[in-house]
Amino acid sequence: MKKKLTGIAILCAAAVALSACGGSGSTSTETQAAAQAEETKAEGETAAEAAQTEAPAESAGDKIIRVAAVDPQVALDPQQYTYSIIMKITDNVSESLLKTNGDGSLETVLLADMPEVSEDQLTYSFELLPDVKFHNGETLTASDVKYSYERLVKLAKMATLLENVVGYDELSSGEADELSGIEVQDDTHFTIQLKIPYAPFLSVLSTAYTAIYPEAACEEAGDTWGMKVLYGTGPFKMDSYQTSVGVELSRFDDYHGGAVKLDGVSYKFIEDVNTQVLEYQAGNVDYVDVDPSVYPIYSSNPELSGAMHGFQPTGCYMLTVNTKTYPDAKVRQAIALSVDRAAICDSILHGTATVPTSYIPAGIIGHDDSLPEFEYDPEQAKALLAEAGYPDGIDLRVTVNTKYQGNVAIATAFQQQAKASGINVEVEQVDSSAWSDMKLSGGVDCGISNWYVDYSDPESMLYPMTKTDTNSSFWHNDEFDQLLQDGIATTDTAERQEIYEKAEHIMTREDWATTPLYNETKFYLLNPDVTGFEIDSTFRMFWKDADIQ
Amino acid sequence: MGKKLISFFNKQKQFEQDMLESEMEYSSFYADSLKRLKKNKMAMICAGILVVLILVAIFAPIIAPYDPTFQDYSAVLAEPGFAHPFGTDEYGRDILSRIIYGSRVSISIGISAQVVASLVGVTLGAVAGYYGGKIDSIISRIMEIFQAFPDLIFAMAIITFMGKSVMNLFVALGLLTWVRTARMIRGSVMQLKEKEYIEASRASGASTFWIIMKGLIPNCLSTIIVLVTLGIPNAIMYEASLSFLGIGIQPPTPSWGNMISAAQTFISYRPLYSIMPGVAIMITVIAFNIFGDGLRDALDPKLKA
Amino acid sequence: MLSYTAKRLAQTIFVLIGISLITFILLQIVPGDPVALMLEKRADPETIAKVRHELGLDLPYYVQYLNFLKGAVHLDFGTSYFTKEIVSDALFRCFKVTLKLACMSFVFAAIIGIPSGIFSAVKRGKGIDTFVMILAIIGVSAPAFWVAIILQIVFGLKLAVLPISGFDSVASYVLPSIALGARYAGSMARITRTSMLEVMGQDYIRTARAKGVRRWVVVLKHALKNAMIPIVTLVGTDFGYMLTGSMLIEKVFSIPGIGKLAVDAMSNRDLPLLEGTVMYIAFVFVIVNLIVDLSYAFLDPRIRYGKGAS
Repeated sequence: MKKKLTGIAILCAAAVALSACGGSGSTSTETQAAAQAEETKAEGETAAEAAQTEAPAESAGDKIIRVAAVDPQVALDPQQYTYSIIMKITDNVSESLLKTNGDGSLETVLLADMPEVSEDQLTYSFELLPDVKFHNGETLTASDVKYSYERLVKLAKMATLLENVVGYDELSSGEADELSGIEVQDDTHFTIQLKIPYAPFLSVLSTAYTAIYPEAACEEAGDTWGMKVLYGTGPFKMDSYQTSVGVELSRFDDYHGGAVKLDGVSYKFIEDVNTQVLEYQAGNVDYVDVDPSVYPIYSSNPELSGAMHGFQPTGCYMLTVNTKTYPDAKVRQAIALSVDRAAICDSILHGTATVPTSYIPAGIIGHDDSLPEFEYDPEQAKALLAEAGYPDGIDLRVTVNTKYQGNVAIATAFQQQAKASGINVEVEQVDSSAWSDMKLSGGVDCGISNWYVDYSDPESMLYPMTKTDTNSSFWHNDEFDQLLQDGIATTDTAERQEIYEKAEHIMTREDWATTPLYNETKFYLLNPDVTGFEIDSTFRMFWKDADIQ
Repeated sequence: MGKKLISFFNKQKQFEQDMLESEMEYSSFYADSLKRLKKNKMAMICAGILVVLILVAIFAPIIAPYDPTFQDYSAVLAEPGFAHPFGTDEYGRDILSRIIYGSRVSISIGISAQVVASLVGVTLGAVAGYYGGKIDSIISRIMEIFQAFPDLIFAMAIITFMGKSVMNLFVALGLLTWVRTARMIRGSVMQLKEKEYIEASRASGASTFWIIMKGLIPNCLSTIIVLVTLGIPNAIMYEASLSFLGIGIQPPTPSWGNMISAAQTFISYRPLYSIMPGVAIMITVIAFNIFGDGLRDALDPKLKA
Repeated sequence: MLSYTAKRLAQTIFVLIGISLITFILLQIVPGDPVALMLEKRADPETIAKVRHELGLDLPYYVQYLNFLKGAVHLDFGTSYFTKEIVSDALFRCFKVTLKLACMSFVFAAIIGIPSGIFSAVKRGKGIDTFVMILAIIGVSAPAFWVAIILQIVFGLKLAVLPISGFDSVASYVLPSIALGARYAGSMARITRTSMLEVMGQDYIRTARAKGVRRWVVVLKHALKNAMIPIVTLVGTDFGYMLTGSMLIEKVFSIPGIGKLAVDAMSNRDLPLLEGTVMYIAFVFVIVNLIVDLSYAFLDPRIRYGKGAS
């Protein structure tokens, strides 16, 4: 072994020497972005030697946070692409009118005041802050807001967020060019008319999808919006976005929300999550997401445990059973009873997750804290299966999306646990494309997936269960659908609580269309020198108030 | 002069005698080859390693200290020690047992993929070589297409299409590796078909199928044996790569490739977990390679390079 | 020679069309829909139909394919469904990276492989020969992605002398080049040794030695020159392979090369991007083979000048 290592070392040294020569000679292929905020840790001769051929290093003392990220590979535009990895970046560049706080309350961002709501809950009157600048120097006006919302509807992807606004259908179908429900009074005043009372409306306006862009620049950029150009009103402006390389943000000096301490944020795209953590350990990045499966390794390492942070996202992991394949609720209940959630939380997730009591997570309206935890009861499951006509058990194909490593682990554990109930689990791993396609086409018999709220409201949690068939259960229940309609029509919290508790009960305790698996804790490693960093329960990361000590 | 008088029946008889002689030649050829092979020390050592590996694969349930899929949550990621020589994985499964069982996957996949590759390759190669002309050029283009197509993308597509099962993996890997066999067989058949006894049997009206099966393929046997032996490590590497990418062997079945993939997360914490499956792949591949080289030198030195 | 080249080029076009058609068919039959992936969150049927129309996915299959072929003739493979980047731009961007990696891996493999092959041939049968050949076979037999992970942990993390991932400095190319180059170094060493041994057994080499020419002069001046043909053939093919990118190495080191582009395109079912990448890889493969075949004829003195050039 030692001999071999020495051998490798010799080979390596030779290659380094080579690369150093090659690098200085062949500059033709060396087209590096000038603004490379990457800092090479110059340790040892070889690295120092190599560093000489690099672009000039950042001047000392620049406060730049380096974040390990996964390459979204698409335009950094939440109106077009809904991945949370995009919002991690864009939330520091563009802003929405409002912001949701940790406790679910709303706070104004671009507004002078909280909007006034008419008595019938149908008209919202807004006043913008004066003199808010976009990164291109233009001033934010009410018509930019109208433009941005219309763009959201035209781009279709997340359009349904605004489906209750007057004129939505006409704009969406192409009959009209504008969202007639939005009326611009002057540069800072506008009103929005709704078709029906819609309680979560202001929460919707706090999401990243409803970010405000400057009309002229956005129109001009066309397809390059979010790829080459992205202007917002946020604390950082986007300097560059190179697919597969990273995103460079730098401080926006005219930021309306006060002085920003950091000079910039540098997102480094590192494809492999294991490599991401290695980069953190080597001191090359300041922030990295950590998979719960490796939690004990880092929590037991004194050097890293201080840097490990956790937060509970609002949402849950669940097992969704296709009601077309398994129309009998008893069978679905049996499946739900065959998961040993406590074992999964303790072992695979190392105690970082908790066994859920409901689908609607704690912290939002409709969470029923009187409910017991979902249990593991193979005997009852067996009995239920026998009642349903399957005394010899059933075969169950569990489909998981390989994009989430954790899901495969859960499915593997479930495979063993379900044997006790006579359920023979076959794990099917598919990639994201096949997964989203199969979900829609009904090809998923039983899937492990997760759902997080876009805004802190039960409507966001339950939305996929009624309006669309995106959650692969194809479950529909008239009473449930009616309850959801009632739930948005009132702003009375107590009333809403009762409505959503009822809905929850139908979904997860009567019909067993979907069964919560666990509430996870997300972890990340953050350089202990960094202060003021904020990550919220809907996964949004804000570097606005961060600083490096 | 008398040849003109030989009847059709006699012709046939003559041919059969030729075949018999060539078979006798062959049996002595194989004996000589075996002698040559036995002199090759390295190849014989590797043959020994292969025998051990195959025995391990067959008797895995007896040898392995634990059930490779049993999850022991009280010993998650245990350190290597007396109970678990290589430690346990993230589900508390014994790594040594998983490596032992992994040999089943690797070896059976290597062999089955080569069976598929040989079936496809020998058939198409022989047909192309025998008929020549248009058929040959069509098959040759197909071979070029298969060769030029990015291999892992092709495997990803085939496996995504057919579903992730061990059987489908055999087929996908077979489809990835048949071209080399086909090329070699095509070349050999082209040379052989000019030989007298083949022409004689053609003249005597033997069916094409019969000529290819009885007259041509047995004469390519040594080439096929060498190609299969050298193709197995290739298929094992492909399996490891695909499993590493998450599209090969599915859990909970252990394969060396999916073990390396899972272990990557824990490499700085439990290095043996990553290292051992890689070493297992390496030993197996080396053994097949050196033994295959030895076979080639002994059977068919022309095949070199 | 010219007509041979022309014939081969014509065959190449046939092969490329075949490959593009197979890629197209594969993507149609493989489960997975780029639109469903794009609309992960709110995929109602109307929105899906709208986006499919925008991407031209509602056209009949043959129209889609013919449109693609029409563009491909002008090297226009369209735009990526996801990134909206022009495919040829994306290819060029990744090609630059892959070319760099290929060059460094190649240099690494050649510098390690060829001299050790020569050395091994000269010291034939000695312990050092066995040792070098064992190293070579280890290089050939170790899975490259596994070597990559181990190099990463040893040199990137434990010794902290080289970058763990990325491609933004020359230093960051070292580990990937070694991981990718190792097996090629191994195969180069083996072919060099075999080829050298063959040449060194020939009469004129023995004569030179008998005349008292120093051993290393004979080896380097006479034997190597004649042993070069098979080496060049192999080395050329190897370089071609490297130019098609290595999906596994690029994944481990997060290098945005051709291999990663191809895998991403496949997993997103991004047809224009996948067609472009597959066509590029196939083209490189076919052309490299053609060049190797032609250069073989060109290099082999027996073909042009008859026997006995030295």
